[in-house]
Amino acid sequence: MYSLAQRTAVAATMVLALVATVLSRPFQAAQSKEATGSIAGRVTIDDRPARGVTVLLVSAENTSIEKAASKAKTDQEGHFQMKGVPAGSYSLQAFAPGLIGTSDNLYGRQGKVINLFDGEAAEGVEISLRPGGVITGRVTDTDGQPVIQESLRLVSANDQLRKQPIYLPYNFMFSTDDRGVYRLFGVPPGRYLVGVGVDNSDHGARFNVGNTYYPLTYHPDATEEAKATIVEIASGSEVSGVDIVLGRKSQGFSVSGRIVDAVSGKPVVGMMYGYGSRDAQGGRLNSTSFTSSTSNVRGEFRLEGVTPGQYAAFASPPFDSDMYSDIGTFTVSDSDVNGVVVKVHIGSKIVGSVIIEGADGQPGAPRVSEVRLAIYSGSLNVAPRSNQVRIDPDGSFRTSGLPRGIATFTTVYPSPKGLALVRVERDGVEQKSGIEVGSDEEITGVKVVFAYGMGSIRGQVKVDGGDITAGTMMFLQIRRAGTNQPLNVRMPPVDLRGRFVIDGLQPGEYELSLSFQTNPAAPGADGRTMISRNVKQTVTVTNGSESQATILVDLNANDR
Amino acid sequence: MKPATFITTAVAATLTSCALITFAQSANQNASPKPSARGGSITGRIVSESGKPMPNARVAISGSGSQAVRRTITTDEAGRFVADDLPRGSYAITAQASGYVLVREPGDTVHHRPGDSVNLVLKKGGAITGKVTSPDGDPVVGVQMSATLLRDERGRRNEATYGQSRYTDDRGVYRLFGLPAGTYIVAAASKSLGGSILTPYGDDAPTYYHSSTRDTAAEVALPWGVEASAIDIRYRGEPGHTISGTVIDAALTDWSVVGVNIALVRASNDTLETQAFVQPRGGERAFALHGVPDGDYYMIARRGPYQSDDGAASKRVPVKVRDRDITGVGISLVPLGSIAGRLTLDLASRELKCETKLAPAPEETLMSLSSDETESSDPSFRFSSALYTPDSKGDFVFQGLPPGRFRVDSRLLLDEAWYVRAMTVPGPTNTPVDASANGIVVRPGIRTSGVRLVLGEGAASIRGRVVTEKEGASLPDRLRVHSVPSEPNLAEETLRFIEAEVQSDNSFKLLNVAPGRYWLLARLLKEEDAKQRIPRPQAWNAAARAVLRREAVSSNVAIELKPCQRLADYQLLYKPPKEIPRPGRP
Repeated sequence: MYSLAQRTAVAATMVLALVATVLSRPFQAAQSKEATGSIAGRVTIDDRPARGVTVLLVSAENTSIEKAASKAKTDQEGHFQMKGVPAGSYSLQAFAPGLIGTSDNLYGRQGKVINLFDGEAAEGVEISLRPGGVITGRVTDTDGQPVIQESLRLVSANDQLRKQPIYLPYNFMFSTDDRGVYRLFGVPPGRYLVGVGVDNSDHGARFNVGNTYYPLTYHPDATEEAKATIVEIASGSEVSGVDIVLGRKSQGFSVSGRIVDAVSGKPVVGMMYGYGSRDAQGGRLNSTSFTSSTSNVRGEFRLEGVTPGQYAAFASPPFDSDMYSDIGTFTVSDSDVNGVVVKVHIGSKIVGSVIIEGADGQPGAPRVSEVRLAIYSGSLNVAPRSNQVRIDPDGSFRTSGLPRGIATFTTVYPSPKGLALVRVERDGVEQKSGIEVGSDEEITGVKVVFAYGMGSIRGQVKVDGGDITAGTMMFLQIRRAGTNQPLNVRMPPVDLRGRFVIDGLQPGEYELSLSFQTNPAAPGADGRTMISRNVKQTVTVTNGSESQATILVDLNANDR
Repeated sequence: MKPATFITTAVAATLTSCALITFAQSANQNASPKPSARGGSITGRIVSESGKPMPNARVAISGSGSQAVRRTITTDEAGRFVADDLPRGSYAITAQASGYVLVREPGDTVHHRPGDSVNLVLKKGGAITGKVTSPDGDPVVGVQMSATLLRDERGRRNEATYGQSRYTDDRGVYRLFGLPAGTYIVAAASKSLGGSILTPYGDDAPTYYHSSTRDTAAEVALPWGVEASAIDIRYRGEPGHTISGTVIDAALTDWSVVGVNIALVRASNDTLETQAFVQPRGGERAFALHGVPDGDYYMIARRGPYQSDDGAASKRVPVKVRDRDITGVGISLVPLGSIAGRLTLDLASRELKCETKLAPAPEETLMSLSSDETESSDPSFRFSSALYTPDSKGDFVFQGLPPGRFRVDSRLLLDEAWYVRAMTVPGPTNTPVDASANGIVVRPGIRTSGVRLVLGEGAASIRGRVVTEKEGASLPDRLRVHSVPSEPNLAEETLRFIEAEVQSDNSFKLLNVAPGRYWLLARLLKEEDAKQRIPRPQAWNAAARAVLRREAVSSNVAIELKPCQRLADYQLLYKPPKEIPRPGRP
């Protein structure tokens, strides 16, 4: 029986790769102008051919939401074919909001990863779908009036002890209409609570939604989970009349305070501000939200419609300001809150330069001013700042307004191709865990080193004593030979045929490390006990060429 | 120092939904606080058309000018709301209840000051529902739907897309609601709203009801509160084309954090087909617009102010799409200009004491800037109007202006007791020169500064109704009421030409009128202006003023307005034009 709870929670960086015919075809490194690759396969619903389903090919590099890299519709037999596909890393997915994929999990619709080589034909890709269920009903208030444009919440009640919110991938299509009517489709089979309103136990910062709100209420009219009626959905079934009657709206509270200069105590005028909820333990800010309001001539700010909980308000200095904000904590229980004080401070500066190693004499290498670098700094009691750094043509940069804490350096998407941030130095010494930033100081002599490389690895995972099956998890890491630190490059996942591609590498010796795990619980698995393997492989990369690697996984050998 | 700004600029008058760019700049952080500058509360009530209070309506209050206050309040059981502790300023107020629409007449700016009590009427919108199917008869699932209002209920052209990102469900059924009455076209896979996820429809050309392209789309007439059902669409699924190219803006560096909006507009009717936002880096940025059907278009790119400039825009770039993709389109942005100056209230005129309450502060006024299109400005940049509230010193700056001639309008003062007495620009020797007759000239990328606007107290107002000679006869649509100064020495004083649209209940109001002698005239809007929801003022060029005067003299309704006079229940007779032969018509 299909069940979401059974599914292994997969770390976001891991990818569920599923079975298809493993093609054994020689790697092709030839550079052809016209893309001649192709992808073909079949879509089924409950193992029967699915006609008229659109299959979308999404590039892992270029994610336009308007246009897929390719699209195809299935024929009477469920077959589809895409031609003229350039080499690259892709995710193949069926667009069928009313249906569910057998590989979907709590994180949404999972596409099939395909690393297509130049001119290659990937055939026999199987996409299996099953009908989703439908839940429909009407949401009304105490007077019987329709409640309009409310989003629906779905909570899995498969596990009696642990109820879990479910976020359907097409949830944004599901708000109530002018009659209060809603229709959820593509619902996986299971037992659910269906609700509308604001969950006070999971409060977040809200803006411009008014000063009153509906507390979370489940079908039929329960504000407590225990009193809610469970809705049971079988595969492809429709349950109607799942009506929700909401009680009176609850009053949100207003919170006011002042933004002042930490040194002079003077009000700070015209400053943007926001607030976020804090967790009960560490006081860490989460789910922050910004207003479009600014502090008034007396430095005053005001928040509306705040639900009970623990929060912190903060100012949001402009992008190029040399100020940062601390946080003004407050707790809302049953009344308005006044007198929250948020202080802004002069932050620290970091002055340094960016260099690109390995770019000299390389045609097409990016200019140093094209590097996109962000410096983040913060600690528990300040509003963190992440400054996007402007880099001059000579590589120098200067950034200000950083709060006390550890400054870390990251690249910002979209970064030029082939660039990787390899290290940060201060006065010639590598700073592996960031740079410590004090109060109102100027840190100089910082060097941020990027490496440019256009080498690549085309690889193949081969399995002895078994296949890559449904639910096999493969997680690949790459590091420079002789180091422990994984390389800071984008790692496309290993595809359903065991193929992988790693681009933008500098010349040198690398070590690939594959974590391979079978999942016997997954549909289509052969029922053997779970086998884990960790296989390493060394590869030499040269600039501008493609190195090949084969990683052999032997399932017959004894563990360890 | 540059005062804080909040300007709404319509670059192309008819691109209602896409051309409204909001330029917001944070206020000067060094401004000294004024503890005495207390505001107060705006209170109000939201009712339905039948007068029933509307509880749970969402009232949005947003300050204009330097008052960047945004507040959202829900009404109580009696439909009431209170926005308390508002700093002194002018506030735009809108109300929204799901499925209901705030009815606004053209030119109604819904601005209010603390102390005001506001009553707003919401009307139940209509709904459009139907099913979208493929040529095979299968439901088309998850396609974004849109309804575009072509004309409002009075037939006034108003191309605005109404939609709340509604999609077809698993049966292909859709429902669009909260729509004001009027005439609509309905599309599946329209690109004008922007998408949120990858669907198979993003590069399809839109399919219009019943199953056609834009040019042959069937219209849907929708009255208030009514459901138009069975608006079924047979989805064509025809691939659209891609227009790609480069946006060039020399003012932007590698590090500019500023977005450029690129709009693709149908040349035949100035409606938005699709748009995109890009952030140019290094002065150039590639763009691509997908799902464009065959047709004749133009593209316009524009952006808000960046660093010390006042914004930039491109000229119209014509694009013809026929059977294939268009690549290599270059769109260059050139700097826009601005108008800066100061508004002062002539407090000596307070002796008149029209009202006992305090004189408004500059930040409680509202200025309107309109383009004088009768002057031949470059048609590439069209601009209708912008609203602005000065800061507490009265300083203002209208940014993002195309080259042309502009006038500050007096219609929008928030206090009926005041009127615009003078509008001047610095002359050759810095002596103020009157700008009311000839307007203010803006040159490309240049800031015209030193504009002065003087308000005086003692304005008169006229409220009334337009009537016909034959009792009960209906009035034509698009009737406007004009004041025409009758004193010979003030004949060309454009600030005394006030005009207002006659409402659907035949009522009109002329506000903020300088005391003096006038003719009043009710007349039909000129045919070429009647298409615009908010037509440009008629009295701006000398020839038009002469025509107005001739008609006013002939209809001969003379009136003398004393300072502070409030004329109510005034009945103004509308006389249809005598048979004046129109050129070019048989």
